[in-house]
Amino acid sequence: MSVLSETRTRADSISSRPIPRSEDSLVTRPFGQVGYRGRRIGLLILLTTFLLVGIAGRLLQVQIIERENFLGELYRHVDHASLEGQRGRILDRDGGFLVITDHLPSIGVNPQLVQRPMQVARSLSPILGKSVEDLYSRISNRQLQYVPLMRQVSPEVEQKVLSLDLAGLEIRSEEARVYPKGEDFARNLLGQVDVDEKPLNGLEAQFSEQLSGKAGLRTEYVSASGSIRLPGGGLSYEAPHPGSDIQITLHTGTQYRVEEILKKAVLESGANWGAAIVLDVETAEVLALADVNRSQSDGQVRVSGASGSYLNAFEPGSVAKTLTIAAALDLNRISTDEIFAIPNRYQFADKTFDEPYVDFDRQLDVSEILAKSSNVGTIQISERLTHDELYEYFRGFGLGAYSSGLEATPAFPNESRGRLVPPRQWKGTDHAVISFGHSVSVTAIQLAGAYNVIANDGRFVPPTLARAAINSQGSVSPLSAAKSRQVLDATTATQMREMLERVVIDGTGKRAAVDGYRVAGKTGTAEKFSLEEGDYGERYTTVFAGFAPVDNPRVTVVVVLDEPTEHGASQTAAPVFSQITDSTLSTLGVAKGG
Amino acid sequence: MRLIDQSLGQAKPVATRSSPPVRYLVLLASTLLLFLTGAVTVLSASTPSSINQAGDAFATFGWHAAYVTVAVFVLLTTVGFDYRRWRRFAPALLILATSSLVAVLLWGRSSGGSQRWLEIAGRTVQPSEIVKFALVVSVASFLDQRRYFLDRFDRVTFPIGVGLVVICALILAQPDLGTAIMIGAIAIGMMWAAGVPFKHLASLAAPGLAVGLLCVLGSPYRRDRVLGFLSASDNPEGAGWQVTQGLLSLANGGLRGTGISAGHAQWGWVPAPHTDFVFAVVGEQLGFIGALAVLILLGAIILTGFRTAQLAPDVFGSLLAAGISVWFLAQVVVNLGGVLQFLPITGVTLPFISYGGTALVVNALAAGVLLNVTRQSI
Repeated sequence: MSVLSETRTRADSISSRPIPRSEDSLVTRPFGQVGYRGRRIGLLILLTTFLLVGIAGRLLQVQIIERENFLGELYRHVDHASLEGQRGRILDRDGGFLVITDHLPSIGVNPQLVQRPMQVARSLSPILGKSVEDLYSRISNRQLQYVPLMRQVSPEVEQKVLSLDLAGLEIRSEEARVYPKGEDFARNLLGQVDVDEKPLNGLEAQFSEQLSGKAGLRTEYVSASGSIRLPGGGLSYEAPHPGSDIQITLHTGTQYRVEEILKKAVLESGANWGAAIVLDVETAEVLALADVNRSQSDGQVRVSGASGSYLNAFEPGSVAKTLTIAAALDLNRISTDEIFAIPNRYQFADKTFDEPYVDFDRQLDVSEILAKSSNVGTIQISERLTHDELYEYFRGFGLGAYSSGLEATPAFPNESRGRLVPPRQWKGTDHAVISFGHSVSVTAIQLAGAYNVIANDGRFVPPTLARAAINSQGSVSPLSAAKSRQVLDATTATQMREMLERVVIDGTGKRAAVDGYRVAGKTGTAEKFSLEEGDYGERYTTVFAGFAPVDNPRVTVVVVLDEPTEHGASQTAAPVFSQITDSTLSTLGVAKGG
Repeated sequence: MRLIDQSLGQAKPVATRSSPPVRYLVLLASTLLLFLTGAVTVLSASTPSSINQAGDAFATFGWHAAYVTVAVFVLLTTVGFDYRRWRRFAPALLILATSSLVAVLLWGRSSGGSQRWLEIAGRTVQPSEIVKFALVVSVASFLDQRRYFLDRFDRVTFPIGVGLVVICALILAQPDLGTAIMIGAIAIGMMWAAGVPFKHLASLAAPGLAVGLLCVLGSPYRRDRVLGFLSASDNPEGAGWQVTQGLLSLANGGLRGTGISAGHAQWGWVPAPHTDFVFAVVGEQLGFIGALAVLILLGAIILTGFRTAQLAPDVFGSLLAAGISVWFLAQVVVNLGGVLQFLPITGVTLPFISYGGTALVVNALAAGVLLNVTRQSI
């Protein structure tokens, strides 16, 4: 390499140096010629070609040849969204909305977009009514892109939250049950759903199958966060179907007034809870059914969350005497003008019964026995009946059975059947005690159904609340399979109505009278059987059951007050009955004087 | 008659041309088409994240469009700028680039765990991109000056090696292993093209590779990337997520693609869909046909670049062309290698396509120089 050593010595004058032309020199081959450098670049061209072909081959493999294999992870991009079919509405008898499904705002945040979690928690705390610590712990969870803070708030709360103008706030619209007549209105019947529209009780639970829509399914490609549906990414779609509407027999105006009257009555009487039912006599449709109770914690009287009228059984006491007398009358064991001698004490089986309501030994006819509510008189009348007869009539009036009149199907979720022991199990004084309404228990709705028999010319019609299901196409299917039955002769019923009117005119039910209408009914005051003491104590359930107008009854009304301070039904339940009946008859436009 | 040297003219006359060679047109058309493809792809790839982060669909694309406009302007200006005049700027460029690397370490802006950007007038500049251009010009100039001593380790390989160590150390400090590898590859490629003996190059490359390996093993983040590359299918939700989703997008594109904007990649499935993994978006939306077309355009630039290196009128021009071609080749191979699971993911962008202002403008500058050399070549 002599040339190279030569060049080194003349390194300082490269540019002017003549280029050596030796064949094996590394540097003498000119550019643009087939020379060493040219070959080296040629190798780079080869390398480039090789790499590009390799890349193209890999592309071919991924995109065409083994495409299916590489698509294996595509399932991650697919979202199966369940689409809720909108839940059906609950309508009153005139088609007014009692419960509807609407969209309410739900307040949430994207913690990743929140700059100062503590500040956000502090400003939201008073609006949402949640503790700062609770909100902060949720907002500061930066793992998540959405954290709900409060679901289904009112539009007012939404406005307040929006006015804070917080970064990262996310408001989502959610389906929610809305109560156009007020949250409390008939909530004892309508029942509740949770925030996910799962029914908890009441009609919502009873007709959940009809109310709930059929879910649809949407399969589609979504973004990695799952929150965005990719354009054109739909894979399959199955439309949701809305649920059916449920129409009930409730009359909104009547219900309002009954709730108000009952709330006032419970508040003033000091009762624990109260129930009031208004039935349409002919159809036994429930026009109004109110249950209110006194809160254990704050003493407030509110519409109950559950319907005591269906759920709570109590001993009916004297109101049951009507049924015993009606049975004896219907079987012609007594006549209305028959006079009974009423001793102060009366021996039945192994027990002596006192007459608590009648002062001295007296002569009373049947009507007076009822009007004065004589225990001894009722026992004497019941002695004209066999166990079986008494039992069968009580059954006929609907006692000991679901108010639907069906063996297996309650008329309301968790309905109580009350208690009516079959006659073969009766012992000792049972017959006598049952005849005046002890050792049996009834629900308010059963009692209303029983009195409605007398109002309805002796015919038992099961009280109904649910009228029909109306599906999204508008087709109506009736819900009540009510089977009516004749319990009393029409004449017996007429006689009973007149006797019950006497109760109001000059008996225990004077305060049940309604100005301008002829009213019939019966008081009942039952000592409550205390489980703790194993005996009847000093606590009472007071009841008034009746109907009006007497000559052509339109409404049957039952009022129950549990443990009022003043325990006589004539003082407590009767006046409430009067107010409800008065209000209902005028609402229904029933002419006075009937 | 354009001659490198009087003596060369005697060896073989270099023909004068009244019009530039066909290669020139191929190169120009490819570059412009790639800019266009890149703009369309970046728009569709960045829209979802722009809406999500800035509330403006064009938040990213607006800047990309601006940078492409500047880049095309730079390209067209550089095409008419005689490449020989760059030699004069070589020392200044090198000083500027090196000091900007120092500046980025001192005042740079961090993003994603590395400090790679300098903030100037509200926008960021990535000095390591400028370094690539400065390196090509300086190494071409240096090798041209010492073209007669190419087999002297002490006069060629050693000084270049020292320069590389300084520059790569500054880049590794950001840290940015990908760019450091690029720098090494460009320099060694140019030295190879110039005719530096193979064993000298090996002595330069070997310690470089060793340092690179140490860097990989020494950082959990890089180890993850390498593991993600090696066992992507075993861990599609963790380290292998990006490459698995990238390949999935390509497969989803199939032969003809989903159509512009209709892919999944940009909807959060493929990280960095408008920068490092832009090719996954290209392949998904334009299919195998579109991806192959982009590959052919990139290949056309590189191959015509190397051909220009063979046919350049002088050594400086040849080395410029070779350096720029090696640069683009390395970028393309390392980027596509990452996307296609040949290589670990390194964060190297795809020239002319990926979003990134500095890279776009500097790539355009390089392409302009290459075009000028090509125009003057046979």
